Amino acid sequence: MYSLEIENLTVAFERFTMNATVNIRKGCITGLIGRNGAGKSTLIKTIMRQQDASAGHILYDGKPFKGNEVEILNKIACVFDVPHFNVALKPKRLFKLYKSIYPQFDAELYEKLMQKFELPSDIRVNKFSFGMQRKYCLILGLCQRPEILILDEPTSGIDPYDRGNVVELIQEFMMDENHTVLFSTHITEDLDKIADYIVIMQNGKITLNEEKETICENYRLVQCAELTDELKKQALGVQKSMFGYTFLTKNKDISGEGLQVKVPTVEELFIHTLGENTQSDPFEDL
Amino acid sequence: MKNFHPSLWSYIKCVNGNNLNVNKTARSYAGGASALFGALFIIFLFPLGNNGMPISLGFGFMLSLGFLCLAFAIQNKPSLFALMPITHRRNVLYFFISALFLTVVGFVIFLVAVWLIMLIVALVILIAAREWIFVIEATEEASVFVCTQGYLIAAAIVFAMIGLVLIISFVKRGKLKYALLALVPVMVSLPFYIIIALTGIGNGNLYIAFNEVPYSWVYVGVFCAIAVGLFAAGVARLVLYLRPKEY
Repeated sequence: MYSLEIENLTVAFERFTMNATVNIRKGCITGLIGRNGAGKSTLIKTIMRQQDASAGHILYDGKPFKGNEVEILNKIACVFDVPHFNVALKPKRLFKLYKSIYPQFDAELYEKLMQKFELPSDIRVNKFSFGMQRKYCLILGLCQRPEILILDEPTSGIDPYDRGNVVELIQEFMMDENHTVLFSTHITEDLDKIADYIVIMQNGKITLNEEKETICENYRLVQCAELTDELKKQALGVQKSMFGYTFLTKNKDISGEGLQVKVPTVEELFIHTLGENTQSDPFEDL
Repeated sequence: MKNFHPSLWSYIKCVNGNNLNVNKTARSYAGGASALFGALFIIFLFPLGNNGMPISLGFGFMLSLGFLCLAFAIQNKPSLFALMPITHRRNVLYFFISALFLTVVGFVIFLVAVWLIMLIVALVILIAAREWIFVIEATEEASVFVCTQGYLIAAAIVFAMIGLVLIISFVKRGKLKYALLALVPVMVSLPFYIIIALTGIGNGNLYIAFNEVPYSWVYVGVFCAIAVGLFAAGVARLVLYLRPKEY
């Protein structure tokens, strides 16, 4: 069962085209990663109907948007990379506004989270630090009591202590099996902790969409001093460093003298799926 | 899950609270600039002999300009109003009502403020140069309001002052393009000076000045055409922005 079924969704800009096909599973946390400009935010904005798509379609819980707007917008919440409300307002006013817009808005949870993150209610949001703004956006998103929560880099700019709290909050949100999270981030450490599925975007396209467990089972990260021909045949995304070579392989039984084999982290997976870099010195060709 | 529709008033508050994510300066001009033009229009058309007509035309002109400013102030950023759980048809309807509300409120606030300042300036002039001033009077012919020269001078000074203050503040903040836009109130003050010059210091009034200009209805037509054009451009921009996304 999918919360979001995205097929051939195309957004064309002058110098960039996004063409994404991906299904987001219900009851799971899906981590969306990719380099800057890969199209993650564009994908999220398109899902949230803030960006026009020239082709393709999205089904929300199996339903098209047209004709089901109210139902879908009631069950979906998004924390964008920038606040989508008036940051000149104070939280106490925004609270009232959100309560009037979303009658299922959880006032109790709001108060609890405001206290937990030590956010003041009588200071304008634009006077908050970047990290405080991110936390406040997340609070508003969670208090809407959505079924589908979409987060565009929610933990960026947040200190490690509160980042742990944010991750915990997302885990708490996922206690309900009907809830779904799509989580775009550059802090892959968070995905290591909570993601069920990993989606990698590259140049506007989805290049990987797999369960994290499957990735852990199927892939190995290998470090070696020399890259033999035999190893080259199995190697994916070879990276050369001062200490030798590292690469991914689908051969989980790989072993040999001088080989260090381990299960890759999300970050290592991300780096190695981006392609090869066999230059140990980045200034070599200059 | 139960489906909710936010109320119209929530929607208006959302739009009025700048949750459209609009360009703030352009939004200010939705109320401010439209109020200036609306006020100017009413003042110009008062002497034509019909009290209801100039007010309604001035109001229409102001709304058109307000719509245009607001429509072009919308930026393509994520905004709360587009995420509200609401049907597309209702979103369009609510948006138009909210835009009207915003423009009218902006107009009223601005107009009241401007007229209050004008009143103060007029009183100052009245005290300083008593012999110049004729109090506002109604003629016997169809109760036409006649603007006195004191009133005109006050209006001209107020518009010029507003423009100058805006220009200085924008230049100080390095926002030159807005400073150019702020020239508008200064330009608005110019016709007042021209009318004052036309009618002659001491005995003229706006009513006479306009009656002496032939084909004044041509000007009304031109104003109306511009207003309709502005309104159409604003509506076109809004419809384009709010059109349903077919995916």
